Amino acid sequence: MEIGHYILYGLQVAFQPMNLFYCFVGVFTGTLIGVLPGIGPVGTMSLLLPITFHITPVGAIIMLAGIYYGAQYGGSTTAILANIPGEASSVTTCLDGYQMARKGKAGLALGVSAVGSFIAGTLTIFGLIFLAYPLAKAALKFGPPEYFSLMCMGLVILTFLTQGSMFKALMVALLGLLIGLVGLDPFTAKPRFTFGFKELMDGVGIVPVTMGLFGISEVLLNLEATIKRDVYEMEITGLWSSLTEWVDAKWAILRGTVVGFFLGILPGGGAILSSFVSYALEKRFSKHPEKFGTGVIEGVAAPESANNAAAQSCLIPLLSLGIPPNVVMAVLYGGLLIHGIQPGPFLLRDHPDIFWGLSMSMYVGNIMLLALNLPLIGLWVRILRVPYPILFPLILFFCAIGVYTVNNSVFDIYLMVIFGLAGYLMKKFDFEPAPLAMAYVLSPILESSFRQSLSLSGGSFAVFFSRPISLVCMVLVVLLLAFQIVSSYVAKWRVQAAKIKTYEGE
Amino acid sequence: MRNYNLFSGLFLTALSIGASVKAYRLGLGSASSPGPGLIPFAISALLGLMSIYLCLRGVIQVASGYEEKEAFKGVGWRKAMLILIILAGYAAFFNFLGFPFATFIFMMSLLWIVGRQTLRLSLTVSLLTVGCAYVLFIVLFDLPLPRGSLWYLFGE
Repeated sequence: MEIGHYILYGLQVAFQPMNLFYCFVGVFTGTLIGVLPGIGPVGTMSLLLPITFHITPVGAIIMLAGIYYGAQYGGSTTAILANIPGEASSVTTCLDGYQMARKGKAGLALGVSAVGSFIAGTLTIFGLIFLAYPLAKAALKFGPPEYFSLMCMGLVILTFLTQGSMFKALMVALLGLLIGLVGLDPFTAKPRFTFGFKELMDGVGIVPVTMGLFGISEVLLNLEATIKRDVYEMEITGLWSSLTEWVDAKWAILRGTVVGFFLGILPGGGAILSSFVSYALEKRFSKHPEKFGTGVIEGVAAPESANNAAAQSCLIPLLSLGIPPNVVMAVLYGGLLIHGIQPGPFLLRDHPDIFWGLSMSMYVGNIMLLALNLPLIGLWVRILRVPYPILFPLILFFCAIGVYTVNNSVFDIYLMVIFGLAGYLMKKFDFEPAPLAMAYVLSPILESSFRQSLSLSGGSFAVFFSRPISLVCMVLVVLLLAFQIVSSYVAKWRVQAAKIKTYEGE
Repeated sequence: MRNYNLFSGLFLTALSIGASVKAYRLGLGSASSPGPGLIPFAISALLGLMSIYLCLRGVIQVASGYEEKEAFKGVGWRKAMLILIILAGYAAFFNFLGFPFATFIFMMSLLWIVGRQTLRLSLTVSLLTVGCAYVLFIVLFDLPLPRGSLWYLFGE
């Protein structure tokens, strides 16, 4: 069996001592930043990107992926013990997890989220292997028009799923596309939007963009909202004490895994969305929905399993199609490109070590996390007590040094400051920064596939509508946009109608 | 009169007009052989149209007496601006003062001035940071961080 052979090969890669070490560094760092509120996986991955230049591509991607799923484990610890979401994807875990801790069941809550994450992670790896492989084979037949339409669809779905106004999300995505085009034109080598800066010839670097938008601006916003940190102090015992509750959690874990797996693949999905959806779903199908929020085990098991499943399944579109479905994957995409590896259908053929090594390392990483997380809770609690006024200068310092070391240029620090300001203002003006980062990463491929398609067809736009896969994507784009426009008008019309009714009633 | 849609709409309109003029000058080419400016022009034109729509929405909101929520409350945004200025200052003096000295001043200003920590605590954390960072980045990772051109003035 072909796949079995590859799995063994992947294990061989994952168990190389250096790769084990990188996996450990990744999941450890991930858990640490997962525990700490105010610094997320995107910022950390961008921060560590320059360090990965010195190591092998396999080691680099193993470490970077470890940060993301490791953060999902860590985020739950803070949520349960301190009622603070260490990560945005642990917001829902606070609801029931903290209540469980207050009832003296902190150990059970931590245990179920760790074991749930582990089960979800394990199942997702199988999903990854069995879905990514055929998908990549199918994607080998894709030409530039398919890629263009697929990416358009991805961006539109992303803006559709973004919180808040889709109109604004689309504007932000367009802005991201423009920023992604800065630099030399790949076809004619003409400089575009460089304003005479030689540093911009290569384009705007991914590290200053993501670090500014997600690292710096987070710090600025966190300083405004004073986070209260009442860490729940207690003996953490009774991890396995209550067997009946574990049985209750079993199905919640499986349902969370399925939800997380599919939402992770979707563009714009990922860990945050899937934890919300699975919590809502669990509540709807529960026999006792009124108890949610008072400390039920399903309320912890489902979102924690879902966010971990999503943090791994989102690798599927990245590795098989070469399309990052969310911002974190966009950073990973940038990381692979820096190593000279083009994610996409050829990755499986040309760099099997990366795909299979990564998949298997995630399994190893999950075991490490399970072993790491529970004994280290004391350490995490102590770290949580470091006050933010001392923490934030350190975060900013690491951001600045991280950005500087990419090109050894001060220019990138200035860029990071500009994007930090942009991210801060965007949040204030109700614009989500995520579509910008995604569009920025996709922009160069989007443009080149568009121009290649037009050269292929001799300038006819029909090329995007005459091929079946491309047509389906384009139809979906149009439908989503139309749905959004219609539904916003219907909402407005309803408000108007309600107003008229109240006037008539008076 | 405060309306964020109008603000951001005006800003983005100006930006997209500038970008589309620049893109147009790059050369649009033709459909069968698109030039370097075609895609940027299309994107900025679309962004421009959407920005104008956003402005209009803002104007309508203002005319209908819509009250915008207060997003810049208190001293938070002043603190944010101060931090950004300190970061830019760090960048500006990084090569001149050198990595250790610039980092010390950077950490001190964030801890002592922005974070309002005690002088003793600020000094301790700053010195610890510089020390650990020196060992980590320069001794262990051997990163090419600047030693500072200032010190060459003293004949080093």
